[in-house]
Amino acid sequence: MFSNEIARLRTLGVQGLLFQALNLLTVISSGLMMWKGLCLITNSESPIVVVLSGSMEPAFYRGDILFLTNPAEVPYEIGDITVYKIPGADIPIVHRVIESHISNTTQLLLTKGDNNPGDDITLYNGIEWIERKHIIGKVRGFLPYIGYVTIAMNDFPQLKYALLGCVGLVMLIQQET
Amino acid sequence: MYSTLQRLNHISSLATTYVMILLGLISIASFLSLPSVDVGKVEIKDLIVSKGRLRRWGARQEELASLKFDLRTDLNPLLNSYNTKQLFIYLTAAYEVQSTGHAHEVVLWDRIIQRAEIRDIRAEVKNKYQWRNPSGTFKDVEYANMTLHYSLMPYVGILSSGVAATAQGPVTIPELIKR
Amino acid sequence: MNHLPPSVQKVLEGSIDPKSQHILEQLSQTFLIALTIISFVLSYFSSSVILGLEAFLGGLVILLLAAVPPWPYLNRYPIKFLPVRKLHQT
Repeated sequence: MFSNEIARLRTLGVQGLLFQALNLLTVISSGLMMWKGLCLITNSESPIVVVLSGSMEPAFYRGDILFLTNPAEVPYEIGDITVYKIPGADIPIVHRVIESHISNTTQLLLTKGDNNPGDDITLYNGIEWIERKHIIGKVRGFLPYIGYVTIAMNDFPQLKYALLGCVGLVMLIQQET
Repeated sequence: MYSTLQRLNHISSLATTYVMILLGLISIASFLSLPSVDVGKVEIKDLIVSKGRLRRWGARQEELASLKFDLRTDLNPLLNSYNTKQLFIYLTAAYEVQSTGHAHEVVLWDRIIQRAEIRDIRAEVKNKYQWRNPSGTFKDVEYANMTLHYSLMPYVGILSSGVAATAQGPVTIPELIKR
Repeated sequence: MNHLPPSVQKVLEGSIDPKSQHILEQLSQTFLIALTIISFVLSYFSSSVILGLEAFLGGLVILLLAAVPPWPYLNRYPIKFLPVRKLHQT
């Protein structure tokens, strides 16, 4: 079934194969460079995130994409929608700042999801306030629905297999050019 | 070479690029053409400071401020503008403690307004969230500035925010009510 | 694909002639640019983002219907292959 493909690969030779590998590496590393460059410009460890929970509905639904920035010298204000991570928990949370207390050493923040009845104190895992260092960034831009694919893949693992099956099928009926 | 699949592939990838360009154009155009808001008025009434507890587990007794207020503002031009999905309005109190030099800002009340609702905001409400000073007492706080902010959520694109109404000057914080 | 019967192959492949393919590619590029501009202008002046997106989708469906299936009008310039010639036996 794959005799065509294997014969083609064989005609390439060792140099040819290495060249193809190099091409692949170039693509991967330029992609990585662009992502890291974006992280540097926005000063955020993850400038593009997917909304995972429904606690900010009806503004953000699960699957929406958010663009973040994290300007270093600008303090966060109340009303900003921030994405933060509590140490010990791995999930980034997207909520709005409802209290801010600035002292000369640090800024203490309290957050709350728009759709939640109370503030986030139960999510804080013991600490009373979040600080700048917990925040990944502030939401500046928004793109609806696009991220739902990643959530669907996680919630329905059968989807991953179905997708692989489709790719295999297309490969079979594709004709070599 | 000239198969159906190839044409489908070609047109879909072109279309994806162009739809992204379209969304980008919409974001930029809506961000640049946001209507300005006439700043309205906030009236504070019945501001008192009394002892109470926060609504959370293990809260200790401390001084809490509570108030009623009146809002008067017209947010319609913003609500019905091009790319607005919803507005989130919130009333904030900003104050400084002179002795420590710390700056504080808290949200007392908020509300979500969706695009389809016509909103000429006129409300007489009391604060939704409890107002407390992290030090536990309000005796170092002389006055606070009350502002009504809005946060605009678009269908696609850049989030923006601004001021919808302000109080006529700073509000003095009264003494603790002794029961 | 080569191990499927030729009739199925022909249907799945759906080829059209190269000249039409070339014209089609250029036309779809122009059409999509125009569609983007029209959808944007429409959405801006009607103050509705949803309308612009619906217009784009509608235009896209029309383009796909007209361009993807191998209609006969796309086969107007069939390739003329030279007749099969037998080589001289040496």
